[in-house]
Amino acid sequence: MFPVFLLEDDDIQRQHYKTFIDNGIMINDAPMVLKKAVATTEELFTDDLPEQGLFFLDMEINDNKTAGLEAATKIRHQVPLAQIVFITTHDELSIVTLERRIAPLDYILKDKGFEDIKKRINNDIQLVQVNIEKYTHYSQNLFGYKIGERYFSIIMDDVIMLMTEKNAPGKITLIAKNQRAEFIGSLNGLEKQYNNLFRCDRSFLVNLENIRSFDSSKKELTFIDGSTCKVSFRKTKELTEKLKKL
Amino acid sequence: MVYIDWNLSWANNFAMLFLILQLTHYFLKEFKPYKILTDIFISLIFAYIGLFIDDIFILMFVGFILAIQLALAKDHKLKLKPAISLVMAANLQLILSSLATYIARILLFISSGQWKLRTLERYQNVFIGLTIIVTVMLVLIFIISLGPFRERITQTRLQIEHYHLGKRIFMIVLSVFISLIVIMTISDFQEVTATIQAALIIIFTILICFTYWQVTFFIKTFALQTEAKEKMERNEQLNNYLTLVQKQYTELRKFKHDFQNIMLSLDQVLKDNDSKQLKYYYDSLLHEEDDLNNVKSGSITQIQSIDNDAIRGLVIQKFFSAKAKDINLHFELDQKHYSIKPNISIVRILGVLLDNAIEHVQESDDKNITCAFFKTGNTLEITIDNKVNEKININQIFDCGYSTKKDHTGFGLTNVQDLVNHSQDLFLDSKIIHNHLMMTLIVLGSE
Repeated sequence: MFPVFLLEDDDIQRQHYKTFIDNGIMINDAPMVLKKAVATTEELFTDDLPEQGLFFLDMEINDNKTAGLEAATKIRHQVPLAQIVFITTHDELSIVTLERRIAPLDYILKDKGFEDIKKRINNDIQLVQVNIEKYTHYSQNLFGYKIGERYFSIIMDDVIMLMTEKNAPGKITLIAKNQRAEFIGSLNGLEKQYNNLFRCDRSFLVNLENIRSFDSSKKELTFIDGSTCKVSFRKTKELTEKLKKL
Repeated sequence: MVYIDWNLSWANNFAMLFLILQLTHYFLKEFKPYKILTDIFISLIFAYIGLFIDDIFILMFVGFILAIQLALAKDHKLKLKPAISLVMAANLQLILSSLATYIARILLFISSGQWKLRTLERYQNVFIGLTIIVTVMLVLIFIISLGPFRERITQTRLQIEHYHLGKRIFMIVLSVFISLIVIMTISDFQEVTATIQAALIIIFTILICFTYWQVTFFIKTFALQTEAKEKMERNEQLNNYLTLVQKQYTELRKFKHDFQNIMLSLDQVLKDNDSKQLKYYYDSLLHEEDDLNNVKSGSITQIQSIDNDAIRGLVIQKFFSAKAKDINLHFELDQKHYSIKPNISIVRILGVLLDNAIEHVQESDDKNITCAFFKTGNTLEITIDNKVNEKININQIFDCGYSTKKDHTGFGLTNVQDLVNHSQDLFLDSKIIHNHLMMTLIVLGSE
């Protein structure tokens, strides 16, 4: 069962949210269970966290305005794939900073009343349920990279290709479904680290799962987002064999 | 004078011209395979001309290429970046070649044990070969020793572009080049001995180094002066505005506080009273409170925590130009103090990203842009966020010339990518999430 967690210091509110979550799971017939509903961050971390989970967190806990954020940072660190939802009042939000730091699934605003909160909690449960079903037959691996002191990770299924460009020596460009990033590294090292990626040319390392087509006369791969890359003559045979297996 | 067989001096001339072109490509960071062929062809022709007219052929060569550049330019205006690179490469090559000639000469004298010019003539095969090898080695040594300064040179180049100093720099470099040629030609013409020519060239080299040093110094001073002037004007405007805003927000907060207190007391009164009219007014007042909560906390005043005048100035300028278009540029800063090293690239990149966001939001319903500064240790992230309606392919917007607007050229992002590529401390991360486009510039090494 996919575990759900709730952190809220106000007893009455917590009771309400608990009911909303239980009802949401029941209505959607979701394979989930509310594992913990706690009032302090300490209680949240008493046991080891599971590999996956949906977390509803209140931002302000006992007058600490960033307690929820600190908890989320810790969760993200221990459970990179965690789905985090903040329940918060409008004043406490720095949405873009939160997005960069935590990348939460959703923000639920308290000022709009219990009815709205109920609806949003139900929506989030549905969203996670769809994700669980979609990803069971995919690999849930992560691709990770580092810039300065920041670690970033992205779901492997979203990775389209990694490439080097002549005018940016030492840097690798990552192209993903909804993202484009760059970091310092070498394709040789990444090729060894991630066996599922295929080196189709000296300057391209690609995710074969996301290929749309291969034009063998032009020696060109097309990906689901429309981007293309060249395949070196040497690698063509290996590629066609790999594509047959897919 | 030493008389050298014509095909040997042809080879020598060719090596010199070819290296000038390669140095130019190196300065411009553009190596293209097909260019090598045209390079060889032009160099061969001018090297042959050089057999008849001594060192002036280099002047002709440089003049010829400048003329071609001028002819190819769209508006018949000389593009300064390639022009300066070419003349600088020629200057360098002249000095390095003369140096190589003397080194080869000394090496030959030592190995043969005869300190006579006759030796050079007798072993001219070896002499010219040696000269070419030494020249190539000197060029390589020069390029390698330049490596660590590359970042600084790029910065200076950006400054030249930023302050439109290109024309002056070009004139300085060109006059140095012409004087160098004149000295060489006259000393050849007057049959000055090699020792005197060597002394002349060494003195001249020192002068050139000094000139280049002076030029960079001049650029720096000019930049500082301009910045100081702009800074004073900006700071004055900013301070006036921020004081005003701060005052307004304090008043607003005071009002909000009073309002909430009154509402709480009213709530109690209402419970003891069942007038419908009173309840109606109370409810409508409650709605007002929602609007009051929507008033942002005056995030522009936080911008004072950015300890970099150029970046702060730019952000404030964009804030005002957005406001003039009814666009709300909102800031998120999670720290009291951000110190960012002066770096023109950051200013230019942020300028383009903010302009793009403003331009995009202007034609959509959601007129909000958020600019967040966010720090982890020494890693600073600056994110510009705005809503996008149509489905945008994130990788397509980086294609040269792509733009969501029909009558727009869309070269902004290409320039951003170019600036980021040139730096080892800057990284660009673009993401589309929840229908928002988030462009993040990551800066390493800020304190």
